[in-house]
Amino acid sequence: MTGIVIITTFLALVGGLYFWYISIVTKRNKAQEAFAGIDVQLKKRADLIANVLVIAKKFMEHEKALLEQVTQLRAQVTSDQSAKTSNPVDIKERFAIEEQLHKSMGQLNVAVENYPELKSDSHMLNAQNAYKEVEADIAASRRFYNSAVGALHNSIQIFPGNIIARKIGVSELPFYETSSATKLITNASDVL
Amino acid sequence: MLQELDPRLAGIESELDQALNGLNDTNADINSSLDEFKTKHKTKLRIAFTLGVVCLFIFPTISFLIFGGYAFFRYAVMPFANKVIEKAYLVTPIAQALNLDYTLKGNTLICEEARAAGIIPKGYRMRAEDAFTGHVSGVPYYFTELVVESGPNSAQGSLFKGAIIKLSLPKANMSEVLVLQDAGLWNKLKNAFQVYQGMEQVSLESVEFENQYQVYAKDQIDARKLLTPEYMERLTQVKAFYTFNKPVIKMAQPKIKIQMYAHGNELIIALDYAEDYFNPIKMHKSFDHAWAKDIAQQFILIESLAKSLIKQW
Repeated sequence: MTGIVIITTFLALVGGLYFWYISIVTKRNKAQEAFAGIDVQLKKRADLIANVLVIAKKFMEHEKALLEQVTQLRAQVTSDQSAKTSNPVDIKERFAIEEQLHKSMGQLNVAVENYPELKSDSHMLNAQNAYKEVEADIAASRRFYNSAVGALHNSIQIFPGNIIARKIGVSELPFYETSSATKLITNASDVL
Repeated sequence: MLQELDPRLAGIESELDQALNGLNDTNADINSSLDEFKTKHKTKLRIAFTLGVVCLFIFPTISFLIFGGYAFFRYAVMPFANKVIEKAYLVTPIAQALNLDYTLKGNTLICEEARAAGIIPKGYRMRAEDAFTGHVSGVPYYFTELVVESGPNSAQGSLFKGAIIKLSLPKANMSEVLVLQDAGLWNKLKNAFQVYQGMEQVSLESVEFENQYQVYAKDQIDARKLLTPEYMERLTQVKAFYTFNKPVIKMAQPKIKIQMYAHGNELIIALDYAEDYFNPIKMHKSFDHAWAKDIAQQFILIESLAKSLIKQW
C-alpha cells in the first residue's frame, strides 16, 4: 500500500513537473514568435526611414544634426538586427536603440512642420502615412510581445518553474517599453 | 444646449421646434378635416351608426368585425402611426445635423451577418427598425436597431434588443477577431470551440476589459490592432452610457452586452441594451430636450468609437 502511494505521488510529481516544463517551453516559443513579429515590423520601419531621410534631406537644410542622428541610429538598428531572439541582453539593447530612433523620428516629424514645401510634398506625405501605419503595427506587435513575455515570466519566476527554467536554459526576456505606451486617453466628458 | 455636445448641432433646437410645430399643424389639419367631415355628414353618420346597431342583432359576426376593426384602427393603429410620424419628424433633423441619413426600416442583411458571426442569438425571427447611414471621417457607417424574437409570438419575449453597427474600414485587412461578453463557464466551453475553429484566446493588458470580455482571434497582432487601449476605453464608455445615462426611457438597470466581430475590412458591433431605444410608444408626447440630447449623445459616442478605429487603420 505504501509503495503504491509513493509511486502515485512520484508519478504525479513527475507529471506535474513535465507539464510545467511544457508550459515554459510553449511560452518561450510564443515570446520568440512575438519577437519575430516585432522584428519584421522594425525592419519595415528601418526601410521606410531610409526613404523619409532621402526626401527630408532635400528640404531640411537646418536640421542636419537631427538628420545625422536619425541616420546613425538607423544604421545601428540595421546592424543590430542580427540580435538573436534568445539573448535577452541583445534584445534589451536593440529595444533601447529602437526607442531612441522612435523618439528621433518623432522630433523629425515635428520639424517637418516648419518646412511647408516638404510637408506638402506628395512623396513625403506617402512616406509619413506608411510610417504611421508601421508604427501602429509595431504598437500591436509590441503589446503581443509584452503579453507573451509577461506570461513567460510568471511561469519561470514561480517555484518550481524557476528551477526548471534554469535547468533548460530559459531566461527572462526584456519587456519592450516605450514612452507612447503609457499615453492614456480622455475622460468621458470629452465625447459625451 | 445640444450645441455643447457637438458644434454640428448648433440651432438644432429651433429645427426640432419647427419640426414639432409642423407635426402639430399636420395633426391639427387631420383632426379639423375629420371634424369637418363629421359635421358635414352628421345625419348620414347617425343613420349608419343606427343601422350598425340594428345589424349587430341581425348579422352579429360581421358587425363585430366591422366595429372591432374600427376600434383597433382608431385606438391602436392611429396612435402608433402618429408616434412613428413623430419619430420621423424629430429624429431626422438630429441625424441630418450629424451627417446621417435616417430611415424607419432597417437592413436585415447586416443583421444576418451578425447572426452568422455568432454575436447575436439565432432566435425565431428578426425585426430591424430605425436605421442610420453615413460616414465617419470618410468611413461608411451603418446603425440599426434590432429585435430578435424567441418565438412566433412577440409576447414570448426577445433574445436580443439593441443595435447593430457596421463599419467598413478602407485599409484594414483583418483576420477574424471575435469579442464576446464574458460568461464564465459557458465561455470556457466556447473557448474550446473557438480554438477548434482556428481561433485562439487573446489576453489583453486591460484588467477591466479582461473581466468583461473574452477575445478570440486568428492572429494575435490583428486583435491588438483592433483593440487598442483607446478603443477599449471607448467601448467602456459606450457601455457606461447605455447603463447609466438613460433619462428618457427609464430602463430598469439593463444588462448591457457588447459583442463584436471583425474580418477583412468589416467590423460589426452588436449592442444589446434590452430596449427599443427609438420605440415610439416610449416617447413623450411633445418635444423633450432630454430625449434629443440622449439620441445625439448616442451617435456622437458611436462616432467617437468609429474614429478611434479609423486612426488605427
